[in-house]
Amino acid sequence: MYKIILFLVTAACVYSVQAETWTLPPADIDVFGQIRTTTTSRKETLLDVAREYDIGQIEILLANPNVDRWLPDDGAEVILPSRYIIPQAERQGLVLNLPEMRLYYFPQPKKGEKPVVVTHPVSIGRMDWETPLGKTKIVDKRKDPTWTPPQSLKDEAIAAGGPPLPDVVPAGPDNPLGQYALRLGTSSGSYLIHGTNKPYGVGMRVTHGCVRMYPEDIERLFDIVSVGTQVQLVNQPIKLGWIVDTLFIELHPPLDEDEEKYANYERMVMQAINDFFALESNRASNSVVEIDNHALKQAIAEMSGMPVQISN
Amino acid sequence: MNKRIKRQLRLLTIAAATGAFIGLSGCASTSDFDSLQSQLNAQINAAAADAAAAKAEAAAASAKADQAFNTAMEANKRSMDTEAKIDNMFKKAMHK
Repeated sequence: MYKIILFLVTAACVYSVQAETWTLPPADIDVFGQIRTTTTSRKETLLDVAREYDIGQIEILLANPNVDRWLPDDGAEVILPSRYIIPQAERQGLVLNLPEMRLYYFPQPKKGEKPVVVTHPVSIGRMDWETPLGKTKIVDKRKDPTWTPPQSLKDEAIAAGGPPLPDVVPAGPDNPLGQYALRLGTSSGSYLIHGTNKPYGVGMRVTHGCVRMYPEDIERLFDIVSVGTQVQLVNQPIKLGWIVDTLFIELHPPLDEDEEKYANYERMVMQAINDFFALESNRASNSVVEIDNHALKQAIAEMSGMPVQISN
Repeated sequence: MNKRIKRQLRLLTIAAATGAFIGLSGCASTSDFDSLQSQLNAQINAAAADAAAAKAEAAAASAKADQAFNTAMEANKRSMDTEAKIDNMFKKAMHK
């Protein structure tokens, strides 16, 4: 209990300095961040609120199913889902969980500094333009990148009846890559983590496989991520994690291409829990965990994208 | 003998008077009943007419309520369709 309180206090201290940077919890705690609320005015949409608090579009919709995306009521309470379970991956470099549409960065702490985790919402590739999975590295960093539309995109633009795309889009306000780009080593370097000239699409499946970030987020990440940084791209719509001996679950809709696999979502959740326990069998704590079935069913029904306690 | 005749006459008179009374009172009762019956019939008819009118009004109100409900449902569906279209257009607009 002392450890939890200490962690929460220090986490809150770091949080107050920078909204998207949190103290990295110790190994037996997988949950970090804080659920907060705010109120909207008639002048705002949920998209504005999402951007203000560094939250993705789908994330804020999942957390606020009863708030109108375009016309929230004046003074409506909006939940800010800024609490996360760290994905099952090595806690180093960049970890990108595709169905969650969120990136985690675990910078190497400098001497005397506490380790932190930085997290930002991202956009990923749409159904026919999947973002690749697996482990890779940042192989190049580019400020003010030019964009060379691939032939497939040019064909798509013509088929849609739009104006033909140019061979090269120069850097500037109309460049869809924004001002910063990090090139991934996977697939012959054809995928980027980049900014955007359409920031309100962040947190949705709208790209051609690249990873898109809010301009202010990629600007910051660009400065702190170096070439050679490891990148893990994972597909975990069902995340599980501990706060010491208490189990939490965080549920997201699966990727469109996995809908058939996740048709029986409840069964997939049970399988994920079993797999998680099997992985965790060597855990230091040997206490028996009793699943709260009512809380689990409610978490599945709500699929809020936020961590929910499911053990007693 | 006179006494007996007198007694018989008195009995006859009483019987005649009773008969006349019964006859008279019988005529008055039928007339009142008819009048009452006709009043009742009028009232029943009026009540039936009122009930029919109320039923017609209720049916009309129900039809209007159904129509309003259908209109609201249609408006709601249109609103949802429009929102879905806006969402799709927004998503498309966010493509490169």
